[in-house]
Amino acid sequence: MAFNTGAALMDALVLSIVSQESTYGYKITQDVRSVMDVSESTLYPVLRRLQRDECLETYDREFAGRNRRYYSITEKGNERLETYRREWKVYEEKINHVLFGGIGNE
Amino acid sequence: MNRQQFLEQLEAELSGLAPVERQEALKFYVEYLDEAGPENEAAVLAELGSPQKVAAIIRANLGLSDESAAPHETPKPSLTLNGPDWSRKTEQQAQSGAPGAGSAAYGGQPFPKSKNNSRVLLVLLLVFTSPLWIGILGGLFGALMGLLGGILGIFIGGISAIAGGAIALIFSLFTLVGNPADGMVSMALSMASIAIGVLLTAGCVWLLRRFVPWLVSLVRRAVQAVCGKVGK
Repeated sequence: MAFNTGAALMDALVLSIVSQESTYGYKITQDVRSVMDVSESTLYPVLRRLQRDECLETYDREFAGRNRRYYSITEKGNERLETYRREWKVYEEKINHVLFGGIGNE
Repeated sequence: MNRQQFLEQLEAELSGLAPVERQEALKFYVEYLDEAGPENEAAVLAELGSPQKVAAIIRANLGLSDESAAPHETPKPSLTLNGPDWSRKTEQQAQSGAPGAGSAAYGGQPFPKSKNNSRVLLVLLLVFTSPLWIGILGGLFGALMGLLGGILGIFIGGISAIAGGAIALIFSLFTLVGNPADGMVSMALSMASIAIGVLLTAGCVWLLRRFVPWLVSLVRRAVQAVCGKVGK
């Protein structure tokens, strides 16, 4: 993707992915990378930071004879996700306004 | 590089972090490689990049030292999606953290800027420029006090002229008995003195009545302007 948007967007995507279904690091990484051109190595710090900020919780489940750590969203994470969604709407509108010369806005 | 080497080098690279942070990170990458499966191992390791780069991104995003690894100490990020400059900054941090970090070192924002920064800056600016504005304020204050003092002096002068004139008037009545011509002259002079005094005091009262409210409103507006700016 030509547009490399910010860490806040990555936070928002991760929170949104996890809010739909508790899932594990590898899956989250693949999902984020399906829409955003980021290195695989950037996802761990994002997950860890969101966990430390108490936006995400983790729990361990056994899968195929090994451990799988699942991430699930917390109340605080949901609140932050909602804020991100509002911010994104505003941002999207501003960008559209400039890119498309206000088509659909006026 | 195989999986074993990657994990060993990553562990060594993360030795500066708190043990819990190091273990969490290693656990994540062990599981990550498990999920990818042995058949994708080479591809995933290539995509992750060198352990130095992976470690640099972790350090840049999760803090360098042990105390920053403690929970609850991470500042709350400001929820903004459109900051153009921080990703570059983080990338620089990641790269300076390890020379091996590639240009693909896209990182999250470690400690997002707080909106309070501008207020902190303003306060710092005020402190650093204090010799200047304290001097200016002091000068203004001195000028105002000088004006007030001048008006007060004229006012007291006027009162004195009235009092002196009144006393002289009383004495001129006695003179009038012995020497009518002298008495008339001194009476006229006393009355003139009283008139001048009345003019001066009345003038001062008029001046003060205009000047004081103006001064009060000036100070109030100045205070409001400063407080309004800082308060926002």
